[in-house]
Amino acid sequence: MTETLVANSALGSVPADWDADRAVTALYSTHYRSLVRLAALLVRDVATAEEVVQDSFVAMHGGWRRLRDSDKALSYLRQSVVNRSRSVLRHRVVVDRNAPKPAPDMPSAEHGAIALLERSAVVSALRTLPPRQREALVLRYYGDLSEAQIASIMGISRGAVKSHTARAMSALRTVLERDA
Amino acid sequence: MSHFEPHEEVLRRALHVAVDTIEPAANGLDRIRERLTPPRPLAVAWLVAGWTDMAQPALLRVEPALAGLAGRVRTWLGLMLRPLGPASDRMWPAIRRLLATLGLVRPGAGMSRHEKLRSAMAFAAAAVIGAAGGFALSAGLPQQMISAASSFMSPSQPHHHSGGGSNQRVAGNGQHYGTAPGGGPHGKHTAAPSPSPACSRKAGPGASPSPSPSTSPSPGSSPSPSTSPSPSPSPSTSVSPSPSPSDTTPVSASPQGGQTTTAVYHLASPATKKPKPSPSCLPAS
Repeated sequence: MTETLVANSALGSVPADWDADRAVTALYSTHYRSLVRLAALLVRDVATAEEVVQDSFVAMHGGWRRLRDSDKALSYLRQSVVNRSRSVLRHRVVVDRNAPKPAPDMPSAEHGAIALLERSAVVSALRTLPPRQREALVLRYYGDLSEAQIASIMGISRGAVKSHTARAMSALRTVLERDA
Repeated sequence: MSHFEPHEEVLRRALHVAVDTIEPAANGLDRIRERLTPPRPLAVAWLVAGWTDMAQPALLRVEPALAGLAGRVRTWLGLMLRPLGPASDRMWPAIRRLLATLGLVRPGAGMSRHEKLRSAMAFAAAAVIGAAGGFALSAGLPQQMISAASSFMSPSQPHHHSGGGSNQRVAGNGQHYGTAPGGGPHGKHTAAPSPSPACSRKAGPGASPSPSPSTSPSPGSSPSPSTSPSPSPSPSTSVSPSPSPSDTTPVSASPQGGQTTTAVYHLASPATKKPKPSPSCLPAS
């Protein structure tokens, strides 16, 4: 069972009378690590994942008054992480398309973290999936979220979540069986 | 989805194994809090920047002219009101009656002690409000902007930002923004590389050969014609001998921006003149 990404975790709901600073601190201490790992699965880069999650916390702090329902703070954070990860990947595609390839250099610590991610055959196969299917799989099998929650986070219907998950699993199985 | 179940478990374990070793940096909350600092009020920064860059140099330029004008007006008024002295004494009761009609003063012979006290308290309250407003304006600003403003506000303080450094100002968000050289008030100010504002306003882009007010006699003491701006060069603004090869190099010109000032003073005064340099235009050392 995932340590903190479970929807009904203890500090997923923040008291309504808390101010934004206090809510950010509480949610950070409970969910920051798991959100960074979730983002790392999506963007395949730990440093970028941290930035994505920090941006999400800042956005949550800014929109704390609009959130109203403090129970949705964690859902807001997850949705923000997924959306920002999507933006990062889009930006990365454009950059990779236009920027010249740099010369190979000494591997950095960040590169080591990426290599650690890529070491798993499953994660490598996950990379080959389309972004929506990858998001659905990560939220379903790493975040242990329900279809309804995934649908809310991804902004799609539950049927679409089922479809993305099934197609992703089928593609993943094909890739893994082929590699095996 | 039952036929995916073995793969689901494999995928679940693989995902956890892949990322559960990732430990984010410990300063994440600090970085979030850094980004949570409220933005600096842009309007305040614009006001201060406008004051330091535009209003203050403009006031410095018009200050001698205003001082000379005030002296002349005072002289003229003294000359004009001298024959009207008895008449003005007769006008004061009428003025007091008008003020009493408007409710500004109590009808009576003179201002009572209570009215004087009330006026003094009103002035004190206005002074306190003004001081509080000034403090509030300067409280939220970065130290860099405050130091820049103070360096411009004190006329006797040397401009350490002269030359290339003075064409940078601090924007509201703490960033520097450059100024177009020679264009706008920023460019005008940067064209004055002298160590004091009194000298810099004479070395402005107007290239006017008018005398520097700080080097001429005080216009308040005697409104002599030499204090009024005139196209004729004054000996008090001319150069003194310097060890540089050019005789026209003024004393006030710094090494960074001496070209503009040299051209101005070359037109203003011949190199053979050796007047007494003003203390305000002497180098800081």
